[in-house]
Amino acid sequence: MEHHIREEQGYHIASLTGEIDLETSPQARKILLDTVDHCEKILIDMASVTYLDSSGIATLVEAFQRAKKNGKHMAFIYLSPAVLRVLSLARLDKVFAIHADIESAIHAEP
Amino acid sequence: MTGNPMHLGLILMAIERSPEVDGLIRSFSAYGFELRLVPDGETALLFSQELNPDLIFLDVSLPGLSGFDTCLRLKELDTTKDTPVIFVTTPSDRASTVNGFSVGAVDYVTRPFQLEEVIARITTHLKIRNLHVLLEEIISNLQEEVAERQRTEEALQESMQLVQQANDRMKNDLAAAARVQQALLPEILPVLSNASFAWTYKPCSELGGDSLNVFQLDPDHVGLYVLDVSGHGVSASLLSVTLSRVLIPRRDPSCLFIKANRAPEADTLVSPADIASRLNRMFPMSEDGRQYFTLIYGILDTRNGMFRYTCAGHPPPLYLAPDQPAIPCEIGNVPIGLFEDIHYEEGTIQLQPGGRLFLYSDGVLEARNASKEFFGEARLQETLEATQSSPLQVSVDSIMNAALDWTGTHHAQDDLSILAFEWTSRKDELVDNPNKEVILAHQFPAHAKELGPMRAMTRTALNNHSWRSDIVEDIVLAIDEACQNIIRHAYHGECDDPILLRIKLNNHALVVVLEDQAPTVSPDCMNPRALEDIRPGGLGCHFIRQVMDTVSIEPSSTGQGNILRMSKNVYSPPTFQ
Repeated sequence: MEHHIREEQGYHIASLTGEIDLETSPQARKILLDTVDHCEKILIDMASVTYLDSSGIATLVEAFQRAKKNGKHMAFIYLSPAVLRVLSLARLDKVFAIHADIESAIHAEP
Repeated sequence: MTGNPMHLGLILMAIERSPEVDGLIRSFSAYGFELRLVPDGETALLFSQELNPDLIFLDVSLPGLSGFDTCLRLKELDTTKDTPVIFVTTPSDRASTVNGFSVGAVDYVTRPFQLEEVIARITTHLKIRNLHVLLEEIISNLQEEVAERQRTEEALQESMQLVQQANDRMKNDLAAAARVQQALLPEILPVLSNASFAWTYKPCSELGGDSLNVFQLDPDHVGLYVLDVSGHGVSASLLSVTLSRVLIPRRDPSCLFIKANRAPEADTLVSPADIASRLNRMFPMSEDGRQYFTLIYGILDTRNGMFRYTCAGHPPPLYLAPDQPAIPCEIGNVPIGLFEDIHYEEGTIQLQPGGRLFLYSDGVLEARNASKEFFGEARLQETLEATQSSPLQVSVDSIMNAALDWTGTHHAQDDLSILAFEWTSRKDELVDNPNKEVILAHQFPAHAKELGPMRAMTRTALNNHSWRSDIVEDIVLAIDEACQNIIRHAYHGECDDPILLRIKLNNHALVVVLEDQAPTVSPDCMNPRALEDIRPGGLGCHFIRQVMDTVSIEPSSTGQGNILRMSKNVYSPPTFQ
């Protein structure tokens, strides 16, 4: 799984690429937890994530919960309809902070 | 006033006695006033406390305690502080007049006395004093009334607090009772490859009088009932809960549904008519409670789609054959509990493959709009025909929503219950019919890295049909999650053993079969966990259940391995421009 982290307007933006499934979710888990541990304001760019399964969901939940526990801000941006569909099947679309793009994520931060 | 025999008042006069004063005493008596004469201020103070006069005259030039000092003392005493005091002065003594007002006198008269003037002043001041007393009485009464009202309001407030506390307690009790009732509704529906089930239930208040359930009686038979206890509220719900407890299938002699034998395979099922008769004997309508209930109970033979049922005072089930209008299947029986020794009639319905049967309570038909017009059978039939190609749960939910929309308030006057099933076809036809179109057959080792290529192949195979891309993605997700469950729970981790995936199309039913060679697993492994419980496996099962219409798992007939079957109706009605 490829990933890339850049800094923009005070936010660390982690971009994930490809499919997050049983095979790749351990790698995605490491990337996300490292980012949560070392950054304060985190946006997860999901634009290039083409598939997400239940193990991928579990990874996102773990990172989101760790960020919340440590008082860090974490939001998801650029979700494809397919990924959004899986989040809604898991009823997580109402739990996660999900935004269309960077600007609206920054604008919405409490 | 002359010659008035009435006693109009007692007047105390502190003044040196003289012939003029004696004349005054006599005249006063003729006007109805009693006059007591005292020679000095000290005596005036003493007498005033004993006699409590209505009015006091004080000569300004009394011996000893002066008239002004006497007046000051009188005004300090409770008995006389409100008694009008009139000073007696001389016309030339202007200063005494002013001084008299400053110490609390109400008036003055000058000597020599002008009888009519003195009487007029006395009358005026007594009148003022009486009005003053009356006013004080009125004020005192009003104050008492205000105090009484405050006490009443406080008592009312206290009572309202008690009522509120009682109300809160009742609400908590009702909520607890409602949870008990909810817990008796079907939590897990039978998982069969050739029949699917759906239900919905909405009580009109916290507690409902309706109840429903669906349960597997043996490998080939499923029992279903909907019942409706007369009335609403606590009494109806108590009987409803009792009935729900009685109507639970179990392998013991108290079970109504199954006559248990020593060997389970020799168990026999009690006919629906006998169930109704037994309930009629067990729950006769009591004199005080006047409660009875309506019931529809039936047994579906999943091998051939035959539904054998009885209907005791309950609305008839609606049968919906594929592409046909819905038909009510009426049987006339009286409700349960009304009469002794009733023989209940039975009916049978032979379902066609794809046929659906809807059981419901009269609350659905009798949901009323603002004009008191019923939702009725025609609208019910219309709704279920319109949702014929939707998943069964969607159809059931649509009926509930249509009935609630009809009320305009989303608050029905009666409990609403709907229980439905669809009989797909015989099991062997569904899965093993060689005429079915095989979309994909793919075998791969149970490794996580194999899932990506498997998904790609599945996506390509499904995309050859004109299904919507989101439906294709949902099915790919369900198959992926099923494969993950095989790797995790059947093989207990990645291995080189195979997973065989076959996808077939039978009319509008997409059938997915996954076979493994792992030891036999429990069918419970396919039950989803609560959504909050995010762990691998439980969430995957939740996805599978959300996406697919039917899911079942059984041991392979070879004795080694498991077969997981899933199906989904992929029919999309044609759209018109």
